[in-house]
Amino acid sequence: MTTTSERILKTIKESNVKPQPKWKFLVKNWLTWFMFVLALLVGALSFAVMLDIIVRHDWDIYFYLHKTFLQYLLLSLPYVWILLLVAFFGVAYYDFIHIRGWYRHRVYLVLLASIFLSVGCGLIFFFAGFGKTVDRILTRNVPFYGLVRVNKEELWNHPDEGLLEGEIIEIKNTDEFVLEDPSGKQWDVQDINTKVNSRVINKGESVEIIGGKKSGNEFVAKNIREADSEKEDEFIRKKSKQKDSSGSDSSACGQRSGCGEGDKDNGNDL
Amino acid sequence: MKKEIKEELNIFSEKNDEELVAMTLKNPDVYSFLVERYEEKLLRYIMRISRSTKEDGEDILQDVFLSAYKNLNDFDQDLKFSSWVYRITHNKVISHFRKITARPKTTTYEGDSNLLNILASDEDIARDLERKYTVGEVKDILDRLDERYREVLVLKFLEEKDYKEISDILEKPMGTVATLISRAKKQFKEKVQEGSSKGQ
Repeated sequence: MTTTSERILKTIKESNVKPQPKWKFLVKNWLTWFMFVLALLVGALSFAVMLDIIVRHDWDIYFYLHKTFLQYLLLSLPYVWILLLVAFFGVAYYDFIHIRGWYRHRVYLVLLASIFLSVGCGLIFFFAGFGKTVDRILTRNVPFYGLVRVNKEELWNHPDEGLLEGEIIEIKNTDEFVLEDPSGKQWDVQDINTKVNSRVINKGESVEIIGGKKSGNEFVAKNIREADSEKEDEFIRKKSKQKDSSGSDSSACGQRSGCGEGDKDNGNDL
Repeated sequence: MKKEIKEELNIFSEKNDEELVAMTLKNPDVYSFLVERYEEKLLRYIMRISRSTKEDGEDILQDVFLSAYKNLNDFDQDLKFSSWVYRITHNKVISHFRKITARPKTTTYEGDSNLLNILASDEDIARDLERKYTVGEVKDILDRLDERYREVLVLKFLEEKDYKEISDILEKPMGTVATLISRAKKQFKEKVQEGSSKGQ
């Protein structure tokens, strides 16, 4: 036995050094694989949310905002989700290079496969509605999420440019209704057939209108579209808060009762 | 009694590395055979790539063998044991080198007297070694190479590892290893030419 081996065996015995159990290494390896797959799946979910935001975005209104399509595109892209997608790809890559024997695979093939997997799963998530669900959950529960996503309310709250959104609080007749915008101002909207997407609109619905401001609080609608449910949620929540702060029943307006003439007067004052 | 011990020693020395690993997990004393097989090679490798003193090299070597022992259950059966233990050595040298990076370079391995001939065995390099270089000069050229280039040259030419083994030791794809070797040779040639022009 050489001096080195003697010294090492002595240290092993004196310090009671033992080989670490096999299960520890197995768990570590599985955990790295798990983190890799998880990062890809979260990346896929980011892709689904990003796609959902892009698909649901109102791409046709840039003209009314006096912007070029490029300006509008740069204003509208979901940067946070794009960044998250890139970040999770980074995490997936980091996890991958910690998987045992990773270097035996062609890195560009693994990257391509990861992108393919993330985009594929992302599309499945998107068509299954997960993207929309995640976006809605975050909108409802994460206080600052609204600040980092494209503010649709801001986009549609330009009555002078012909864009108006809000909640229908009263149907006057077949071609006229009263709409309350997010700031609480009430508008008399004139329309030819009061239909949204070829169906009759109802009191309490949130709508987005393309048209033109006539005077004061009168607006002529050329095109009325249904606001997406997420915006409706935001609107109802905002209204509930307003009602709470004014001391009235929080559910009253959101649930359609108590949004009559008395409220209309208050709205006009605003 | 002596005969029995001798027979036992013969049995162990006939075993391959992987068999000795399996046996070490049952009987720690068997580990001494693996240590004996690799101590000289690994010390030489440490000295070649780390520019550390012999004392430091021996400390790193002890650390390598202890670490390898603790991680025996992580030994990847897809690798050769030598690649695995060289990988541990590479990692230990890197972590040690990070700690002592401010220290000046000191000694090199005495066993490298044949360094020039080994390097000159490569056709590409041989063409550039038109004039005779002393071992010291070749070591100096190697010293002036980037760390990563010096290490692949050491592994390829001095440790005589093939691309697969280098890939396993450095945990880099084979394509990257090939690129590194090619660039290392290029840088080696540049340094040789720099040396020649200074000499003239």
